[in-house]
Amino acid sequence: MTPERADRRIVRRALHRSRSVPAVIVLLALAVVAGWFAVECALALLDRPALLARPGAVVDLLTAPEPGTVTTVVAVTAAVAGLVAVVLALSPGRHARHAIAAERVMVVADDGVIAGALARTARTTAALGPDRAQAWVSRRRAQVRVTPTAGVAVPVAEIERAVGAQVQAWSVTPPVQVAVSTTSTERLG
Amino acid sequence: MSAATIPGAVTVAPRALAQVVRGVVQDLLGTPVARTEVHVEPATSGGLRLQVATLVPLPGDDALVTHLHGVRAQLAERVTEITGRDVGAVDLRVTGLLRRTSGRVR
Repeated sequence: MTPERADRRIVRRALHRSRSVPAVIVLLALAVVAGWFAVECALALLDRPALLARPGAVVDLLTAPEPGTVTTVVAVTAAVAGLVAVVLALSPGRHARHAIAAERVMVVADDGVIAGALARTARTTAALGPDRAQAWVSRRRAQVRVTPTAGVAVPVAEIERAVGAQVQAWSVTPPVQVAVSTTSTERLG
Repeated sequence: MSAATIPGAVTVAPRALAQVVRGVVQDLLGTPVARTEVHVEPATSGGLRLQVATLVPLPGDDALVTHLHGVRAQLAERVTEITGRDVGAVDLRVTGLLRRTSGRVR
């Protein structure tokens, strides 16, 4: 594996959720059921009393033409668990993170960190007070919301340019579209 | 690094804005600062809304209201000059007349 490819895989791992926890849970449940059935088979062969049910009774229960309450409960639980597992397996499982370009190292930042930096860029560009710009970053969008000072025009285009340049400079991956807006209410100050 | 490129902000506290307005009213009308009440808020149309309640001197030739409309405009202009904030609206309420006396009369 080339170093670049290894880096890409590491970044991918950092950007996506691991499925190991659900996988471990499913495998543990299967192991417990299989172990129990093996013990029951052994006890039946030795003619000893069963722990919960004899294997023959289990097979009868599963092959009965009319499903009983126990069979229905087990079937529904298994179906729900299976559905959850399928959704977990097929959903993208993304973390709220983006990769950022840096020399020689791979950087992955939480969206909140990127949003904070973009809000600061907006504040610096427009010379606004500390609580006058908020930012949110989602997978494809970065939104900056500025609360104007009453009587002072907000240079929206300039902020948009500065924030856009910042995002470009970091080459945020996946790329985000920048949108700057102002709140309808102004504040004194 | 010049002053303009240093990151940061200049903010003016609402109380300071009100003080500026009182001072300008004193310059324009001669009303003592203590006799002028000022409320500053963001105007719905943008900019600051100045609400001023003050004593006014009787103007020489103009009708009082015409004169005070001129004062409103001058007030807005001067406050913008000093604070750097646009003034969107000025409300002026006359709470009494200021007697112009040149000295103590016995």
